[in-house]
Amino acid sequence: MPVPIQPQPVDGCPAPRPAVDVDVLTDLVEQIGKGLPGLRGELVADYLRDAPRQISKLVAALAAKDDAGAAAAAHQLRSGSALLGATRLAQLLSEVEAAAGRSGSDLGALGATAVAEFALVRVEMGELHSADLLVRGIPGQAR
Amino acid sequence: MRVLGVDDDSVSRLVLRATVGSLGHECLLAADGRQAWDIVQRGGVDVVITDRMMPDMDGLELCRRIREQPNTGYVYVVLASVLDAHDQVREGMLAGADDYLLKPLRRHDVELRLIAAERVSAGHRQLEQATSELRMIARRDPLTGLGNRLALQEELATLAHRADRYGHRYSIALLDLDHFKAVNDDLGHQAGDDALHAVGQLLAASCRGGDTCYRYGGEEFLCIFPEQSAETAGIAVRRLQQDLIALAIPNAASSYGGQLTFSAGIAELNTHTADVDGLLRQTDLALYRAKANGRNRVEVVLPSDGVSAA
Repeated sequence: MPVPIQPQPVDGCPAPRPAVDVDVLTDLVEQIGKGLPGLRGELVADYLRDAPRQISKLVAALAAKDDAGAAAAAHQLRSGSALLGATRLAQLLSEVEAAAGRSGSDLGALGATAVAEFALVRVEMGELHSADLLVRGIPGQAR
Repeated sequence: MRVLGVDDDSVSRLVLRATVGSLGHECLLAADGRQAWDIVQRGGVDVVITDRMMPDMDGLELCRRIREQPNTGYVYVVLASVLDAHDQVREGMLAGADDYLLKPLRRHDVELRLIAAERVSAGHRQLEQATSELRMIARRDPLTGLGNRLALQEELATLAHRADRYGHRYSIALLDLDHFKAVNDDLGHQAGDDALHAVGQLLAASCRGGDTCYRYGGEEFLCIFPEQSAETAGIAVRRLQQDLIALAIPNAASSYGGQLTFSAGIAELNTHTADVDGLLRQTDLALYRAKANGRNRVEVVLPSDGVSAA
């Protein structure tokens, strides 16, 4: 029986923290996005386009026990994730990077946690992306 | 300023471009070190903010290449990395970085780096401009406005190389004002300076079609006539002698109507005579023959001067 990825809220317990801290993204866009109305949508779309490729590389490297490859894929995904508010994923990727090549570390388990976290990030980023499209319209289509 | 952002992660690139733009600077982007290096070599980049770890050419190698390239003007380099361990930072600074940034980049950190970059770049620009002005001043004779001996030496070295390698030929005329000491002695040094200035003006005005003139020494001048034989250069020099007499600069010691004249020696610089120092010595001998034969004359280097006749 697989363990569910998304912890479910239980009466009396706080709701789980989202995978994407929207405040981080909002702060970033407020700081650097003056005069760039589409910046948030551009960043999210870019992340959704690029990140799955890096995750695929990470999964392949983990399966092949290629520590250096896993570290490189984790490294490349880490900065963008941290920038856009996927803070927990960024932390997990940094742990993957640090654990790669270190003896006695369970890189497989750590990597699997990061991959699972990415699934949550992807869903939430996808929701942000859809919301942006609703506000701005789908490029190339009249509303 | 023009800033080049280098990162293999596209989200980081977009954020960097927006950050630099929000700080009022232009931002170019490159996805790896090799692409960045191509852009830097084209010139016009003031600042590079580069990721440290990238496939192909990493940030350290990019730093090293930028520092080894002398001709692009100073490029201020900031290395960005998720690691801030001392030895890592030190390695980056030794590779040529001016500063360090921690990733993920924050706007106010980038702003601080660009303030420093602007100051340092302005200093380097001023230095480069001053150096180029000094280089020009160091090669010009202030009295006559002609190139001086340093400029001449550089030019002759270039011409000797061209003569040797591509078979070009040049005629060189060494001019010496006759009895010039008498002008200074009889009329004062100001009159002497005026005479030198007038000769300089005359030579500069007569330089056409790539001919160049230099002040060689006290009252000596040197003219270079590209692609001319000693004979045709001799015709040009005799015309200059007539032009000088027409200026009617008084010289009591002159045997030519009490007017200032010059004598000249001419030699040809070609593929057989590519030794500049030797050539100048021969030209000097021809000049002294012109003096000995009565002044206000032109003599061409002879085989007896040690160089084959032109």
